[in-house]
Amino acid sequence: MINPRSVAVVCFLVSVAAGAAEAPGPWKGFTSVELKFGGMHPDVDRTPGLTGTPYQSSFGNGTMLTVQLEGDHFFWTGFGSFGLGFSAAYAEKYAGAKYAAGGPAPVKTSLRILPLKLLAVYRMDYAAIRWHVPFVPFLKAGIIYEPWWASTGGSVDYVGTERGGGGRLGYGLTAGLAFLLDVIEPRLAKDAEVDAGILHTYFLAEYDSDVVPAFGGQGIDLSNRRVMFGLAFDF
Amino acid sequence: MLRLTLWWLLLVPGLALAQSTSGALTNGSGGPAQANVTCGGTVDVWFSLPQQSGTPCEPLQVWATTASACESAPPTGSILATVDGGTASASAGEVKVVNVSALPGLSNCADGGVNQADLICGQITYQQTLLGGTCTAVNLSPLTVTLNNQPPPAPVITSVDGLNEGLLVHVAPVSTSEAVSTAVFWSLVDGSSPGQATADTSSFNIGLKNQGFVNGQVYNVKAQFIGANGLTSALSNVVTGTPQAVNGFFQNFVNSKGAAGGCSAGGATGALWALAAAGIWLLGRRR
Repeated sequence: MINPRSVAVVCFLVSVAAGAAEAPGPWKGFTSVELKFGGMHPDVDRTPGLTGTPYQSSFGNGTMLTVQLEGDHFFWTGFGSFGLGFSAAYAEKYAGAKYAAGGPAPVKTSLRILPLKLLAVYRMDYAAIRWHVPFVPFLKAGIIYEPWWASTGGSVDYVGTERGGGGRLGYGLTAGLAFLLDVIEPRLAKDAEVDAGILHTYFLAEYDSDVVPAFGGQGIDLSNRRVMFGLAFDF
Repeated sequence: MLRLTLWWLLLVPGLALAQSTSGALTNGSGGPAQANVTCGGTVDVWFSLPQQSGTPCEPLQVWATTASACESAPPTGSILATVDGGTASASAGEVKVVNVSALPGLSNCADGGVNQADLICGQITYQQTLLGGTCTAVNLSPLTVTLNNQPPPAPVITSVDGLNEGLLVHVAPVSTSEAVSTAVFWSLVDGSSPGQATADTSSFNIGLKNQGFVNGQVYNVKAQFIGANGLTSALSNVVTGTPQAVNGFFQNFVNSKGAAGGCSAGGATGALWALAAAGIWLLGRRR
């Protein structure tokens, strides 16, 4: 059965790629770098076939501290900007391990995830550039590869011969809103453009929904939905 | 009177220059003026000369003494090394590597447990143009060489925690000048299955894994420090520890009938790079 969400992602990617290849438009390429922070709560406990809640019993209900660096290149601007990007995030969660017989053990257990995304990006910045409306909505869709590993006492876990780590493929959708900081200090923004080549600076908030694994993959479910906050710099 | 004053004004700076002791002997290039050595060891002696003009008229002479201060001139037969005038005209350099056995106060290594010190002294003579070409001696700051013949103190094991097929040994910290590594010894309480491991003292919480420990068995654990001089301490107190299963996240996951699953890291990474390459190609085509 075809997942309608997968179809939406594929359609979005195809349309952006088609826009890049075929759509006429002014060539005003620029690059954007985003640094974002937030917290994710992976759906490990929703892994199909699971009889318990290992994430909750290991880490409680806490989220994983997440930092993300993203670079997008916008190669077509018309009614908004289209581009491709790549992002790398890192999320970790630590907690004290427990003895099988009960009681706290003197070592920590951890789960670490490194989501890597290849993204198609649409930024609705037409109004911001043309009329100086400082709010810029954006959408992103991407293919995700997530290396992950679990460790206890500093070394990667093994249970029998099964390694507590690996890589999962998936996809993700992102919707967000950026606030153009240039409007607060236009003079400073102009200086940043002249001195450092920074065309625009944004504060942004985005909602990410990642489906990992996807495309029929089995095993640990690292899907998550998260809100990230950060800054974006256009060059 | 005026002439005498002028001569005095000329003479005093010249004397001050001639008696300068801003040069030094050090342990290694630019190293400290203190060297801790062990029996049978060596000390690498370097010199740096005072900043002053003048041509050396005698080689740099280096000698060792058991006195509390360097003599004004090297006693007969005490010279360890000389550096000829040509080399000594440089501002700094190596004198030589001196064997501890050649130092008069430290050669008696049999006197274990007692810290002893020798001074390595240096003197060079310069021809002072202000003094009419006479040769004037300049003494360098000495290098103090101390024989460290003391073993480190015995470690104290404060506790031993069980790990999954391992033990975590907690040792009361000491300074790295006292101990550079810790040897840990263990055996079952009946003395069987002995083993040992060594860890540096960057941490005093020593994890022992992959050493054949069996969960549920009780082990006797003791430790010994190893000092920078290679000497070992007495053994510590004996503490028992029992390895036991620890449930980390992944163990909990597997216990809940979960499986890691997923594609191999290599294959998925290849797929990702292929996607990245496609994106770059697309950009290039657009340009």
